[in-house]
Amino acid sequence: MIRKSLSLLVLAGLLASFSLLAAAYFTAQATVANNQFTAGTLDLTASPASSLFTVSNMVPFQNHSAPLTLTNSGSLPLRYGMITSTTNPDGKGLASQMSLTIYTEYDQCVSPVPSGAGATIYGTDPLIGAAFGDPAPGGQAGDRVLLPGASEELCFNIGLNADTPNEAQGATTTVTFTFVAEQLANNP
Amino acid sequence: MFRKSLSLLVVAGLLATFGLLASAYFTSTATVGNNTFTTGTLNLTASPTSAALTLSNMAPGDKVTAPITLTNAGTLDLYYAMTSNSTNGDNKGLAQQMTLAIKSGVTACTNGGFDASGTALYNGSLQGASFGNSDFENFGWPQPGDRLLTATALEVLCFQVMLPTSTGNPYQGATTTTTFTFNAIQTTH
Repeated sequence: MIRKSLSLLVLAGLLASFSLLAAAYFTAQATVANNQFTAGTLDLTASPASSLFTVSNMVPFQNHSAPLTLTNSGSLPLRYGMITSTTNPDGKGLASQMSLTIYTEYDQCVSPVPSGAGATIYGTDPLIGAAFGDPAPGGQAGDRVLLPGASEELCFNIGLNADTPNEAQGATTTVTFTFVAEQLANNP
Repeated sequence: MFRKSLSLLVVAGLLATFGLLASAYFTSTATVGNNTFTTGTLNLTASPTSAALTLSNMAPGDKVTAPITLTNAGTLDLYYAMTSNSTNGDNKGLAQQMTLAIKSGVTACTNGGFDASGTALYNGSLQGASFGNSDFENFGWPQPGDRLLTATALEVLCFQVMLPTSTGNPYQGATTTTTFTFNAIQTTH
């Protein structure tokens, strides 16, 4: 009984010594809280997103116009450019017989030619390879700037060239316009 | 009866003699009072205590630079180290992607002036950013990177947080909130 009590006393003494050691230093703490960082968003939308043109039974000299709206739906300023791809499923090369003009100034985007048409950012030039600006990083000639919430309407006018040969009769092509946007900030 | 009385007289005489002997020395008492002991204070303060750095609507390449002042507001010299914690509520890992650079001795603590002067204390990811070793009691101190701040002294650290230009689209709209914690301990041990 005495030995057990002695052991307990020794244990209590050790614990007391440990507590004293652990608490033997003064400490302090300071904090700097609420440092908040939020990334912006870059979001360019095109409307309509599909079927800007659906033209059948085209004939040489024929032109069609359609308005396309580009909107900066993100929170960051952006610049954008355009590239074009075309298909040639029947091997008749219809796209190579077509031309494109993109207007930034006009009264009404009507067919066959927009009324009051003024400044253009492309053409009239071949549909194949149609582009403005440059998707490569950095600002290049022809890139267009859109601030957050802003939008602009472009008028696309596509024509089948007057010298289109008979071999192109019944031909089909599907065209995709791709608008590539990049941040304006820190991207000279 | 007579013998008994004589014995008592002898005892009384001895006692009287001893009593005279016991009172034969002058005595004096001097006190040393008012021995006062006061513990020192360990008090590290940071300024500002909140929102030292904020940046919203960041694009890759954006950065923000701001000073944080650490003051030894106590009476004891101290060592301090820093840890940080960043939230990831949207699971996009923005803090992991962002970088933090901390310098002392920067002349102009601005985006433009940060690189021109000062000594680097940390350069790496915002996630888990630290300098020194805050686990003083387990590792001892000072450890490499711990900063000495004498009583009443202060120092200004310059923090620069950046979203690298290599940041990809998955980080769009991501958010993180970071808390910097400065832990201090007495220099003597």
